[in-house]
Amino acid sequence: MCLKYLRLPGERSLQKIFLTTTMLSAIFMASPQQSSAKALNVEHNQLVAAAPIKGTVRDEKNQPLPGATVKIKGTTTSVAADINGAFTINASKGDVLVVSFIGYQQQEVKVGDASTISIKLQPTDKTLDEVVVMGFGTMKKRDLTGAVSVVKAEDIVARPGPDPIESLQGRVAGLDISRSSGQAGSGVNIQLRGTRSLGASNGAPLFIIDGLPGDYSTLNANDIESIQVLKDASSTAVYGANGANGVIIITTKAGKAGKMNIDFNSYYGYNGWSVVPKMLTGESYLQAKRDAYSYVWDATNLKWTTTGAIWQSPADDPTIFGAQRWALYQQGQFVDWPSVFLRKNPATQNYSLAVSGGTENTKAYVSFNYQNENGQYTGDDYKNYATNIRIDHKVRNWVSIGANLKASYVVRNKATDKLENALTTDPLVQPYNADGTLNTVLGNNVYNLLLNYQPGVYANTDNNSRVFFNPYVEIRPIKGLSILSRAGFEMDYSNTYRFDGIGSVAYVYSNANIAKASITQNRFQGIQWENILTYNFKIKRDHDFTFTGASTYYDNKNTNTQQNQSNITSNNFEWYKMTGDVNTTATSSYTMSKNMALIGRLNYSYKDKYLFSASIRHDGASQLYYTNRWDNFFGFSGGWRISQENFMAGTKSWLDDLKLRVSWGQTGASSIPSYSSQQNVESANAALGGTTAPIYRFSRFQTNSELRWERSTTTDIGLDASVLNNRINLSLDYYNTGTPNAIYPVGLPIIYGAYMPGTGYLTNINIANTNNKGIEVTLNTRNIVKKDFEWSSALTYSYNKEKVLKITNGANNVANSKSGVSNINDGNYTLMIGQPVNSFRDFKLDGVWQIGQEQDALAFNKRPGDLMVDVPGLTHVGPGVYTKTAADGTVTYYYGNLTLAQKYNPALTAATNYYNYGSADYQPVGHNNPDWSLGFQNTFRYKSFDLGIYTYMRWGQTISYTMMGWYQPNGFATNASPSRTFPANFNYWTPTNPSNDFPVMNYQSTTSNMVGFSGLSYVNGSFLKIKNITLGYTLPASIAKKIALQKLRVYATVTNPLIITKSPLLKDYDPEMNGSMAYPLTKQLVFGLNVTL
Amino acid sequence: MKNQYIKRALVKAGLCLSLLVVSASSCKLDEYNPASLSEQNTITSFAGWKAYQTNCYVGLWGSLIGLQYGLVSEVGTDLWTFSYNNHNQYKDIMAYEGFTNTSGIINNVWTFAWGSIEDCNKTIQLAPTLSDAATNAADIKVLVAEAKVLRAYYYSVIVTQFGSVPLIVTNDPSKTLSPTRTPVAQIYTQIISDLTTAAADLGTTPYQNNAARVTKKAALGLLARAYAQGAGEGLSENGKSYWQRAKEVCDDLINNKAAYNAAMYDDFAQVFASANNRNNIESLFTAYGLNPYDPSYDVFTGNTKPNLYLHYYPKLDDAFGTADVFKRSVNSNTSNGYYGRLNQQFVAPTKYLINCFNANYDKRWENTFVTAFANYSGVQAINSLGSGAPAPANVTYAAATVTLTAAMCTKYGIDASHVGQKIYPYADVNAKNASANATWQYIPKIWNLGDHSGDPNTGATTVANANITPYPLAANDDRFFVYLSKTPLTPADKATRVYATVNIDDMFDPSDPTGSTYKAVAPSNGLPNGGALANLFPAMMKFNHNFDGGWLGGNFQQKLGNIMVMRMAEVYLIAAECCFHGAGSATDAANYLNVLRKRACRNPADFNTATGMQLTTATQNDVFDEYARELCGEFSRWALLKREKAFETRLAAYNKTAAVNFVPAIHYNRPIPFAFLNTITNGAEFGTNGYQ
Repeated sequence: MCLKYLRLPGERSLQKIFLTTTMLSAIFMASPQQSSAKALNVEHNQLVAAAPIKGTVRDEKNQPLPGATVKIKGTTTSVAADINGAFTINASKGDVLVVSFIGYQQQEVKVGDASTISIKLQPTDKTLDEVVVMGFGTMKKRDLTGAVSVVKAEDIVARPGPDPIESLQGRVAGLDISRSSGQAGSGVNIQLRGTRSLGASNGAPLFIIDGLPGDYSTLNANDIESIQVLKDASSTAVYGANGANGVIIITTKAGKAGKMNIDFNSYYGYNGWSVVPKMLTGESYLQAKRDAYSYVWDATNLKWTTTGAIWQSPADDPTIFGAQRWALYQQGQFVDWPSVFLRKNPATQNYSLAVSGGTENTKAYVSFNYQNENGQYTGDDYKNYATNIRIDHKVRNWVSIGANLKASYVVRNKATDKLENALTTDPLVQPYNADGTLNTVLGNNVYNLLLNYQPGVYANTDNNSRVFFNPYVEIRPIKGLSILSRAGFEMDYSNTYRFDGIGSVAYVYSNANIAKASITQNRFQGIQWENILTYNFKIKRDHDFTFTGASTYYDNKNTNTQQNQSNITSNNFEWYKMTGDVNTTATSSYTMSKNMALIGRLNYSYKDKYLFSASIRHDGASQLYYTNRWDNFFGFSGGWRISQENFMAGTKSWLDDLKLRVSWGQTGASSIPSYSSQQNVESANAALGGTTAPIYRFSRFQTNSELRWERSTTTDIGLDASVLNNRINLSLDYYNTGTPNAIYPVGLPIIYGAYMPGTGYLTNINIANTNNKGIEVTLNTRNIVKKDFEWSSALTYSYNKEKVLKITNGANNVANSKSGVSNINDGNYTLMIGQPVNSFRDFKLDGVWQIGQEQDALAFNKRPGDLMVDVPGLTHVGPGVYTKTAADGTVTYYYGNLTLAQKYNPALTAATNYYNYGSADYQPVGHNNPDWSLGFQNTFRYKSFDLGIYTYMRWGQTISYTMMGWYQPNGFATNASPSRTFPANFNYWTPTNPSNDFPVMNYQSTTSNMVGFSGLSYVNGSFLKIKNITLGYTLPASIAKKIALQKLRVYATVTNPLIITKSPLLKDYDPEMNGSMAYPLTKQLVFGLNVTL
Repeated sequence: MKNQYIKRALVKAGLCLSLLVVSASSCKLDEYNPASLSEQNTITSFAGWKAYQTNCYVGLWGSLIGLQYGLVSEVGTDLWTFSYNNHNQYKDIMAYEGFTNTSGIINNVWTFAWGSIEDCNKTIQLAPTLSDAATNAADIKVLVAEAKVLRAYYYSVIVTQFGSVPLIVTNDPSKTLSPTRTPVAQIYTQIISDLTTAAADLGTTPYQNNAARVTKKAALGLLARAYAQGAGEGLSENGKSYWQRAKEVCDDLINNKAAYNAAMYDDFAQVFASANNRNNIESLFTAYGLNPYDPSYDVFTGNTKPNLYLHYYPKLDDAFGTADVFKRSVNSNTSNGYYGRLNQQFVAPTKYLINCFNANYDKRWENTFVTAFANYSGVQAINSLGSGAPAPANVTYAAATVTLTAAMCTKYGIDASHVGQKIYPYADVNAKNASANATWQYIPKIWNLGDHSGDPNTGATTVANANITPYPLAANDDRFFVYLSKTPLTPADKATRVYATVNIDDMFDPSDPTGSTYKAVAPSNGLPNGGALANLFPAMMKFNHNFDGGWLGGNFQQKLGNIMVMRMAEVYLIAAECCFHGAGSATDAANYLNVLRKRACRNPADFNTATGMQLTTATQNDVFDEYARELCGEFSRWALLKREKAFETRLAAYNKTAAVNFVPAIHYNRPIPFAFLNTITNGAEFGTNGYQ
């Protein structure tokens, strides 16, 4: 019994780690236990004459199992193994010894002739008995009928970093996580099973932290006990309106009865070593310049010729540079901007201390965490001071109370992120002038960040305090019945202070020599109240019912104030001296939302074999138009544990468990912005005749009284199997989610007016039908299990196929755009029938017109070297002639040479009829969500060493790579304003280099007249990465004990050591950044320490 | 038992609690939005409605007078072409090249012209229902009339550019996504009706003396213009052609100028003088600019501030680099305080437009075009602010002075005899701090010729319009580094000049007899600096006005000055035009034109038939020419060629670049933008106006 208390009720995989703990405990406990065993032996000796049998009890890794019980079957004779796992028992030949130990499968051994027996126990698979946290309740894993993934504490801390969720990348099949920014403290993008909702903010899963919706970003990863990801709609239906994009439930650690535990975890390391594209410099820059001037286009003969070109020989180099820049070139003054702007090895560190313990009745957990991450830009850092305090107290057997307080204080300094602009500017400009002062004229739109690196000149600081207080009371008046009332109070105070002082980047470049400061304060108050009634009862022993009834109420308020100060006369003042005169402005705004729901759920299980669950949620949200605020969401699921069937008895030797799950459920999304379902009148000011005129105007969103809840319906079929003594665990899921009425804000035709000039009215419409189908595989194997060596693997694979099936508006199967500029929607993506939601629409390129295709190119008024745009519906009828047939059957001929065209249509008379590429030719050019992703973790353990290698693949996504747009041939012109450069690996076209990657390098070509150029940015972003490698060493328990430690582990982790991209265009670029170049992702090397006292 | 009892009680209490929670809050899901108001408690009474009415003006000062409509209403005509032989930007509207319905600038015009119509409709519609309509009847009448003028103006832009469009005159809560087109005639009827009623209801001084508000003369001016434009569509009214009606309205305005508070300046130089920018007596309809010194600057709700002037200016750094004679360039983001941030150079005058001016007598030449370019200093700013002078003004006299070297002379074709001579700045700016976002205003003086003191108190003068440079430029004027000479200068004459000189005639490519092609920038073009001076062209300066000071510190590409959408001179031109459509004689036409020609004379004595400034009779071509001289750039040329059905003839004669692509069946209307068609459900049926 004592042992049982000392053992941490941890997961199977933790057991080995805790074995040392157990052993230590066993020493304390050994004497009384052994003496009682002796007493028993004495007693038996008197009854049976038997020879003493000696033996040892060991675990699957040959470690002794002290305290294991050895009993003679059918008798009361039993002994306990000693600290070395050895035992002696008086048994006769033919007796059956029953050997048991908590956490291990009981084993029976028949006593034969041998007087020594070696027994090896296999651990019991406790996974099925693990408790999984579901919405408004818990459930044993064996009873699960939905698709739920569980991530354990040790996996969450396996990858050091500020964002606990980042470590889930690749761990949960179906959960797509990517981090696109290397900025200190930046978060991740999360998407579960594809995109259903269309609004940008609607895609993220709902996070439930200790039962209530919350924000995980400042949670200490060391405080997390487990993370459960509810994926199918029957699991998430109880979250109704907010469950459409999946639910991630985070459970934090609580105190446990027994000995006090003190855990100390820390790491220290460095960020940096970003891969950044190498730009043209030196010889390669000179060559590009020469290429730009080596040819002229002879329009009469349709060819590129060197005759009359400005560059004929190296003697012309000074001409193409201009005297001034030629001198600079000769000095070889090329700047390596990344090394000028980025710090070498910014440190990252974390210190976390947790103390927990308690009695049967009162348990407590307190932790403190300090995290400090530095980014690569000077002045870019993130500090988080967090605490988590939790008390659970059982007042009586039938009533418990408790409370949890999570508090954090984040200080974050943000740098100006203009690396991209610097990379692409004139490589001959210098960060410093000859006199040593900073050079402020790097070129158009290029900022010398060193200005902001001057002391006292610039600051952009967030400080955010967050307190989440969460008390509860639980009453268990009769057996099986529990009533839990839980409240949550969240207060976030986020402040952003910004100062662009005299001499700063903004002062010099954009604020016209005016120093400015601003204070932005955002106050969020959330009140949550949930009441949950759970009643578990059995009928006739085999029929197990659990009824759950719950009510929830969430009330969120956001107040935002902003103050701005301009004309600050001294950098001393920063934001501390707002003057309250004409140079000061202040604004405030307020938003709120309320949600309410009633939930009912029934779980039924028959003999643990047939499982069934049904739920309903009645949900209301304030954001919806008042007539359509409430709706119902249903969920059903069933499970069949096939392995429990009698006819499966024969498979017991190798099949441990087999379960089939089927579920169906509905979830909703109401998360349209507050106040966007009903039009009202805003009060504002306008300038009229040089004076201020107060005005009223209508709000941007026009009322749509028809707007209803967006609903997703998901069917999920899953199979869980574990075989070969749980050496192999497999989980398979297929799902199909339909969202027939996704909400989308569409622009009203401009003939009905504008909210402000150029900004049309919007209205939310249940516009589209989206569908997601996918397969998820999770495979955990223990490949090699030896005494000193163990190798286990965990593989997750997810494949998702996403489609927009219907759009009720718009031409060309394209949803109308909010901005109304072209048929590209706002936010880069365009909604198109048959394509995934986050799809790009632009010119689709067929490469570059090549020499030999002059006549064909001419039909488009293009030359070899210009971009070849794929035009849907165009037929190539012969050299230099194309046709297009209109809906009414009219055939139009396009050509640049009448003679050629007349061969096909003698009636043509116009000298030319060029086909003009235009945005009407836009096509789908890829989607930003991956087709599939794969996470592959391999863990090796050799004696006290452990090694983890984590590989991650994300495949099939298209990214809009920002560097592509900087290809600019006329940036090499003598008088270019400004001069430019681009990555050295950009393979551009010249008459002697028939590249299909980039159009012609000619100083007279501008990207604005190379129609189709915007289509160049879309690059296949598929990649394979070794995300991290961790090598750890755990001090053997025997040594640890001597220095009074339960556990001591040191480790080193390398993050992002290797990246392999599919597209050669992404040389020296990490595609996980998703096209951006602002804050390059870093490689990381940290050293860490885990200590348990 | 007792325990049992307590438990039961607690169960009950718990259940009740849950129910209470549910019932207490179930009906409380209403939104609370303290920052918004309802239509009922705001705009249904006079005060709120009046505040709403201001929205009708919001669309006016922005794109409709900026780059977007500014170019769409002028280019693609006989007046303007590409600067150097370069078809980079806006080739769709400038030369009908690659013109599709995805043209961004056309979509802007469409979007901005429509934007405020709904506000006008709602204003007009609400007026009779206001709770206190009776007590405010007089004010309501004026404000409704204003809304009608604005609605008519917006519709006139749309119908001129796009032809038949949906006519929407009420704010109907149910909005069809399958709109249908209304015939052009019906749209003109609505415009005429709005303007006629408004003219009757408006006073001659603006409501509450707010100069942004329209008055009777605006309604009448626009009425004359709308009749003329509608006349081009062959419309008539009560048996009278629109031409006749247009002429009647013009004559009424001309004959009763004083009664309508309309006027003409005696001297053309006054029309664009800085001092007359805010209260221009010649203006009939003004887009009133922002006041940088007033907090209203920071609450501007329109779209972009106009940057129209910029597109008519050459990129000086492309021509000169930044290393020798031209002192500051766009490469410095703080830019050049005198010309602003010139980085566009889209539009240059055709040879036809240049030749329209007889610069010997007609001062409209130098009052319209900048042909000499100079550096500037910031001595006033440095004197008043010391080291606190903002960077664009922190230019000492010495720093703005260039000493000619032999290399410079060779490079720019300046005679070697001038080596060692200096080129001084032309302007000197002060810097004055304005509102938070307007930042600095740069107020210029002009250095007196021959004064090299560097002291702006004695050596510089405040002039009426600092954009104007002397014409003709004296050979010894050492305040300029380049001069584009309208009169061809001989090499001998050029050699006397201390600055680079280019004959404007030499800038045109001789292979285009229509004069619509400037030479390409190439070493072989025969122009100085390795051919780079082909980047230059006469710069149209009419929109280079910033109310106070030349330049807006907040954005060196934008200007805050008022922009005249219509001025009195156009009324004379319309009247003359009508004479050739049955509403008068050739002599009548000459008389109207003479009013404009007389005040344009450099010397009053030049107004006679010998100089050609005075006409005794006129041809229709004289009308076209006079429109060009007087109104070039002022939002009118494209509409003129459209109503005169003159694109084919005039493009063929004066703008071959555009003529080769002009398809009459298509290009008389602009494409219906794709973006709009994409928001309606009957896009295919609505049609693009024939565009691809």
